[in-house]
Amino acid sequence: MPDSLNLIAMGFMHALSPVNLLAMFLATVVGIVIGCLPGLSAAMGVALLLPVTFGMDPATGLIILGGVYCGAIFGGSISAILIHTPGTPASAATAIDGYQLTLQGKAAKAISVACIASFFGGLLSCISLYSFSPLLAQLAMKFKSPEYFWLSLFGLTIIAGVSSESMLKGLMSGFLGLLLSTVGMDPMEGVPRFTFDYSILDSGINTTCALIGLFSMSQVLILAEKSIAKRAKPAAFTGRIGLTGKEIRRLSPTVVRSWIIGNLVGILPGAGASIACFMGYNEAKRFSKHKEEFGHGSIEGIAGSEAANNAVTGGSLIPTLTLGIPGESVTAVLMGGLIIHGLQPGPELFTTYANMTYTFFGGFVLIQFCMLAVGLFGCKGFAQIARLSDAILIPAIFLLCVVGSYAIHNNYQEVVIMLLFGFLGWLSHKFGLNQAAIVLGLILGPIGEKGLRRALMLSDGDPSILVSTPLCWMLVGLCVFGLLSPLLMGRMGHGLKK
Amino acid sequence: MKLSDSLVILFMYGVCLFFYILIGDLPEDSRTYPLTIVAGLAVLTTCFLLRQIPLLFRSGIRNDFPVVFDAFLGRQFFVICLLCVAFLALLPITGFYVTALIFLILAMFFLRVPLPHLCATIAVLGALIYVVFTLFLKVPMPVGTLFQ
Repeated sequence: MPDSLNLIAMGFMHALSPVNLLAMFLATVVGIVIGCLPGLSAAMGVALLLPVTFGMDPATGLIILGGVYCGAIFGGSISAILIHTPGTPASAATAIDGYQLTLQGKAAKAISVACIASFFGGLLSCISLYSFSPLLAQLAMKFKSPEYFWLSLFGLTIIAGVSSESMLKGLMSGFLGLLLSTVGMDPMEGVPRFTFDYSILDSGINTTCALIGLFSMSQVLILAEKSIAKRAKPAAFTGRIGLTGKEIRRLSPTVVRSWIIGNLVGILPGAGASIACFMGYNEAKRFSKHKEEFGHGSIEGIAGSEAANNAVTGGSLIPTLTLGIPGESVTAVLMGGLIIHGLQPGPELFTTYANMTYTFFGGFVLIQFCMLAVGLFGCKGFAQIARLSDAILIPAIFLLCVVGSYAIHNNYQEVVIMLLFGFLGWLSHKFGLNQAAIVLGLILGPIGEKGLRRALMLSDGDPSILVSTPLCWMLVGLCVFGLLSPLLMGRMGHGLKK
Repeated sequence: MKLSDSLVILFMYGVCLFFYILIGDLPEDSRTYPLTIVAGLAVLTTCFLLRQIPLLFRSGIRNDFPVVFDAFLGRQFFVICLLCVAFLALLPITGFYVTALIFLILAMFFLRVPLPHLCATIAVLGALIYVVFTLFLKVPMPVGTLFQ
């Protein structure tokens, strides 16, 4: 315990360095801007910022990605409240009551509630991040090659199953990602596979290029196919930003409830902020003494939705950092960020790289304060940014995709790979395949392959080694759960949206 | 059965076939794992096909492209795609900054961005990329054979 406290304290000390503070401030601003622009997602923002973090200290790089993540989830509420268009799906429930308050001339109140609830949701989620991550990492220490094989399969089944309209299409996407992950040197034999004599493919398809292509470049194509939408002018607001003591007391139980909901949803791989916001909103309504206000401008409704979606952020980092199973597409991209810095999610992050991990955790806590300050003082400015036309965003995002993918190894061929993945992402979007599952297949493929082939090598080809320990059986059970969970999630999501 | 689903099935079988042919060139020990993945993808695609067969017999192949490509602006989409490809083709010749300038002007002009916004975007984006990538990250942007 004293060791943990030392690590936490040291993490905060490092996170408070001027460089990290500046990084988290800028990242939060960028995240809020991305979040409040309808059509741009948190995953797209994090993917776009990945190359910027290359030359940095890994902790600073992760703080930047975390800042964009949290900022984008909160930023979605600004456009949801002021122009009735959720910036991200995570703010869909916020738009219900947020815009009603705006129509009543209480936009400042709505923004204040969203900001303060997001702050507490995010801050409280850090408690579970600090308490559960080391425990889960200790469990992961017992994993050997067969367990890693099952773990990668579990990650794939759960995200492929849950986040796609059709489970089979999700699994097909995951297997497509796995197949693409076989491009490059054979990890056991050292033989080039499917490289077509391109030396750039010897080390496999660059994950960052694939991420930028699938999440950011595909967004350019999605925006380019539709007519350029005229954004509504945000409502002007003049009221005082902030909440009274009475309002804070009224919202406290809702925030705590939504924190628990958001955290659990975040920890459960495959679910995400878009589900959590509706769950938080529904529970806020169920427990409210003013049910009649819901749908007509309830501050509890906004707090319920916003605290829940921001509580997802800390929760979803737990399985990502400890087991290497991302909770949603944003954390899949964040995991790509870890790998780019040469770090493998798992117990090593809490032993060998504990300093870096706890600096990131400290930074993640401070990001919430940064988000509160930037959100409260800058909301009027962000409201104007939400009007930025797609006609400007299309060429701007494309240029950033090109620069980002080029900057990785200063290689032109990787820009071409990024563009190809952009088209693949666009086609996946059109034909109901799952981009997150493709990415996950690419990321988890090498882990699963090494696990499987090492295990079979150790057992002289005897496959029974794959089910030789209770942990293996537990992971097999989780894979089955992963395959069955779409039914559960489908019913839950359908019921909530109804 | 939806036309889009039938294309997904064809695409997946095509990928399987493509990789299956390539696997033949690999040494014996390196074949097993990719072959397993190809087999897995083929099995999943077949399962998906089997689920679609009752629909195929009931209503044939239903063209759902009007839904999938609802509000699709072909001209705008293909011009933007063309500009993106042209950007990549020009990049090694004219270098990053010149190509980016031409691309931004053409793309925003085509998308009818008002002139003051166009100028502001070029200035802000150019400054951002220069400061972050050239100055801060020290990425040597392509100069282009024309200016070397």
